[in-house]
Amino acid sequence: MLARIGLDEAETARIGVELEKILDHISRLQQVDTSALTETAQVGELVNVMRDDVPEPPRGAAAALRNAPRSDGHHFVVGAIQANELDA
Amino acid sequence: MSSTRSSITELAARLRAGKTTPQQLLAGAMAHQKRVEPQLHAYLTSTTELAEQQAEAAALTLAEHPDSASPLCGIPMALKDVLCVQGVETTASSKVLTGFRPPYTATAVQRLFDAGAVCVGKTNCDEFAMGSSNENSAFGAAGNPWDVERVPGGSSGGSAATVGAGVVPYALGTDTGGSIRQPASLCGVVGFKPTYGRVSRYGLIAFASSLDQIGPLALSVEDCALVFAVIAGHDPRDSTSDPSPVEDPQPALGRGVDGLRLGVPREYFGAGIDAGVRGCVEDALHVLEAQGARLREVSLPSTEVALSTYYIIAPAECSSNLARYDGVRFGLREEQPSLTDMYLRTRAAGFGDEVKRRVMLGTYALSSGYYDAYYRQAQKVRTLIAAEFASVFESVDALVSPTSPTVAFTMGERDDPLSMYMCDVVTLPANLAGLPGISVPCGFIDSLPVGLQVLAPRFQDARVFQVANAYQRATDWHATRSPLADAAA
Amino acid sequence: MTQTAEAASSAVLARYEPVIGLEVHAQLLTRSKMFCGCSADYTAAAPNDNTCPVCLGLPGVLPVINRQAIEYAVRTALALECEIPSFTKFDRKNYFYPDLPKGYQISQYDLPLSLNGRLRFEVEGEPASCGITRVHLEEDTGTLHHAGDVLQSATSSLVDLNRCGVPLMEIVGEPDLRSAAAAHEYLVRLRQLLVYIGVNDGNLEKGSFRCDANISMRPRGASEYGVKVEIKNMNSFRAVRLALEYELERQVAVLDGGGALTQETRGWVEARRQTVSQRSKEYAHDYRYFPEPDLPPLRLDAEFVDRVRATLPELPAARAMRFADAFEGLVDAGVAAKTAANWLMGDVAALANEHKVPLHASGLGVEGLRRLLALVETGTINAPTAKELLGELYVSGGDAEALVRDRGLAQVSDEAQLAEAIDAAIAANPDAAADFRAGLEKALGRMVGHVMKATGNKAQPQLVNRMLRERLAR
Repeated sequence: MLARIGLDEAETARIGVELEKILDHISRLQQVDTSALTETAQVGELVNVMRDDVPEPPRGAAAALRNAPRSDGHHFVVGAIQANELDA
Repeated sequence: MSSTRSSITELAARLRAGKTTPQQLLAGAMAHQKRVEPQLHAYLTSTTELAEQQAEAAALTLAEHPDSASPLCGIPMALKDVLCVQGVETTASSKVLTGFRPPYTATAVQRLFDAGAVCVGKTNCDEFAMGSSNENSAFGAAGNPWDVERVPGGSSGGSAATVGAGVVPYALGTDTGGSIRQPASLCGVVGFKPTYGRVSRYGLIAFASSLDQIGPLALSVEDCALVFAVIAGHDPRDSTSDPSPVEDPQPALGRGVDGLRLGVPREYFGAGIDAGVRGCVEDALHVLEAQGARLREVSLPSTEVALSTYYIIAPAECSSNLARYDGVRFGLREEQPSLTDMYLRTRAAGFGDEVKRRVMLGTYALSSGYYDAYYRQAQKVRTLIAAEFASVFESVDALVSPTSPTVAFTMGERDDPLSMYMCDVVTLPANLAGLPGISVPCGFIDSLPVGLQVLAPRFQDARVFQVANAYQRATDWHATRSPLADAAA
Repeated sequence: MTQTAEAASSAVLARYEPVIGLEVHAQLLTRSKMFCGCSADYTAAAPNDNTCPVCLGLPGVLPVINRQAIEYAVRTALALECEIPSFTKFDRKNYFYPDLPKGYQISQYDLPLSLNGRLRFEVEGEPASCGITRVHLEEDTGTLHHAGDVLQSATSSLVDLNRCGVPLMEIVGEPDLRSAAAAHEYLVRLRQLLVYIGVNDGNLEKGSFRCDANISMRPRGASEYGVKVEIKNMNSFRAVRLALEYELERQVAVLDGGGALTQETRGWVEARRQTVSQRSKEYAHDYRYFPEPDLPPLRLDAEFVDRVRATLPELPAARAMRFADAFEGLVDAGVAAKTAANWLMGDVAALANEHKVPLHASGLGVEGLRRLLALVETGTINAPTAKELLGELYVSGGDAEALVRDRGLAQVSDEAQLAEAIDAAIAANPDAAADFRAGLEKALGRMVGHVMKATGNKAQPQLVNRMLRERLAR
């Protein structure tokens, strides 16, 4: 559900079995002693990569909406949002 | 037409000698593409109009500045469909991106265009670059130019196939766990994955951000080096792109391997590597030894868990990178009364099975309660894998091994995801450590190509070219033409 | 609050102690967004006009950190007496919502930019303080407009991404506050501070300064915390106070009635003067935070922090508060926030340092400064004249209007009076006139200078500028 992919029952069953096999294989990772190791989120030594605070002309709504599946010419339009879908 | 399966260097010389024109090269490429495409299915989009404009502009450049023009000027090429070109449909072989026309061009692509490249089209690949056979393309798999019943490898299968078939002398691919090197191996071409951070990822549709890297597939090591020299270098729009100067790969090409210490990782020749492949690669090692290289067996003990590490980190990053395909701003949308149902149906309809598996796997690995055991543990093992490479590179200058455990397999043969994942067992450790690597043809088994992989320390991309070119100069495997290249009229 | 409500709440407070912690989200006054070059000032743009591929979350594009946002956040952290760890990084907070284009928000999780600070303020004249857990940076989301009045009856929602990617600073306070009044004072002081150090415009209504509250009740004397409720949707100081007062009474009523409170998120509904349940704990999200692979981490060394510290007016807490009071006084009296901040942090701060006398104890005083700035605002005098007077008034005091009148310092804004000086300036600078006519804009400056000199700096510069242009265009 967190992945927001709607699978039907058959798919859920099939992919579930496949994922179980994969998880079973990759679980061997847990046998590695990593108590003395730090984590690597990205390779390389880069730090402090920043840009100057210089505004660039924005591209505009027409460009933003060009690929939109549904728009009112100014906004992207989505269906009604239920109260329990609120994330704010 | 004789231009098929000619190298960039040859074509550049013929252009300058006035023996051909960019327009003629383009026409030749299109004609050959038309002949082989029904069997090969290497392209998702043809960019004929763009190519014609580029060929015309290139002709002008060559006429005005024949000496200062890039060697790539006027040469036809193709782009894996995960690379954005402004205004050209870019789908990453996914239904979820059908119709998406990016308003920008990837930096690496723009650099090629600025050099005068002529883009004939966008090539087929596994959906979002996830796969090792091209069978995960939502638009049908590409074929292998040596046997169209077999897979070209993946995920940059279309790029490897079209180069192997002699349609274009080079194409760009991307490599997250072997997606340039493995298809290059299976299609009998040269495929180079640069050091992570060397080539800007801006405009590359992300699969796994900390692993993805753009690189060339071409007919020779020199050609890969030519393309690399153009696309490499710092880009302020990619914060992970390295600002240090790029070493010119050209001088390294002629340096040879005399006295060079080459490590042979024991684990890269172990279980799962086809005996025939191992034989071809061992022959290749003798060739290098005969050139003066000193071979030394080394050990990378964590290779065994590299696959597991990769299949946590890559899916974790992809689960987040692919969250933007939600039907709101671009691409496919399955209209539903409620927002949640729209998300669920759009993503179910838009993603293929392998993408779904990886997004779910990655979501799981990051979720509360599993994060430490999976994601955090993988990040730590990643440190270990990088450290083992660093330690080995204290005593050797480069590593040599097979690229792929097997030659090209038959379509549909590997229907189990895990057995497909095994395809990348000797390529993906380099991605985890950010190393540069290449695959260069080193023989055939039953008329199917075998690849030799060369890896080097980070930012020693030139060293990779040095070793690979020394091997290539001593052999002619790379010059062997595939049946589809010979289909040229 | 009515008399009876006040009485009721003081009776309640005799038995229960509220435990309140505030979380403030403040947009930073950078020129561009957090990770792309779009303008951070999105308010005037038509829907979705202020966007680019990066803030739209299109495939293949990448974020780049805005250095100024980092500096502003560090400036804030220093003003809040926080520690600045030498290593910090960005993380992805993953969730699906239409105002979040990438499906994740770039934020900071386990290694925030700063930690362990303190905000000092006063409650009913008594000094008070509240711990600051952390100050971190993230990107703002877009905005949603629901077609139809109420969310529940809306058939569709409209997504505007103009705001998406604006730098947002999250300031998390410790649960150190023990009354709605203390929470109110904390917020007022925090807002003053942010505006005063120039990082935020302090606008609650427009949402550039937003506040959420966590509140729980415990019997007086107890040391453990009660069940925590989070309150959202409070868009004024008054709303914060009313919502907290409502909520503490509601919680006490539940507890007194023998009921149990549930850990939940409640929204303040201004029209009903109530908090309403939005989401209970079972719906708590699993945000799957992990390090943002597209951004290398930050190492903020001592040199960087010192450089940022130098941009902060170095004032002890009490004096900072007096400055903030002065600022508040000026703004309340109608002086533009930016003008007030500029004068207070610039010339007034310099005079305070020079004479070792704070503004409120100087000859000028806050009211004197207000009257002086009013003269500038109305165009009676120009800024250079005001600066001259400021120094004198600061030391000796006096009436600004009277001085202007007596010395004839009023700015000349009568065209007829200036015409002669304009003509003279053109005649005296034939080369500059010719250059300007040939399109060299900066040549105008020399002639403006001539006029200003000739009028003893009293001419209104904008008027001089306009008149010169008109004259030269003929």
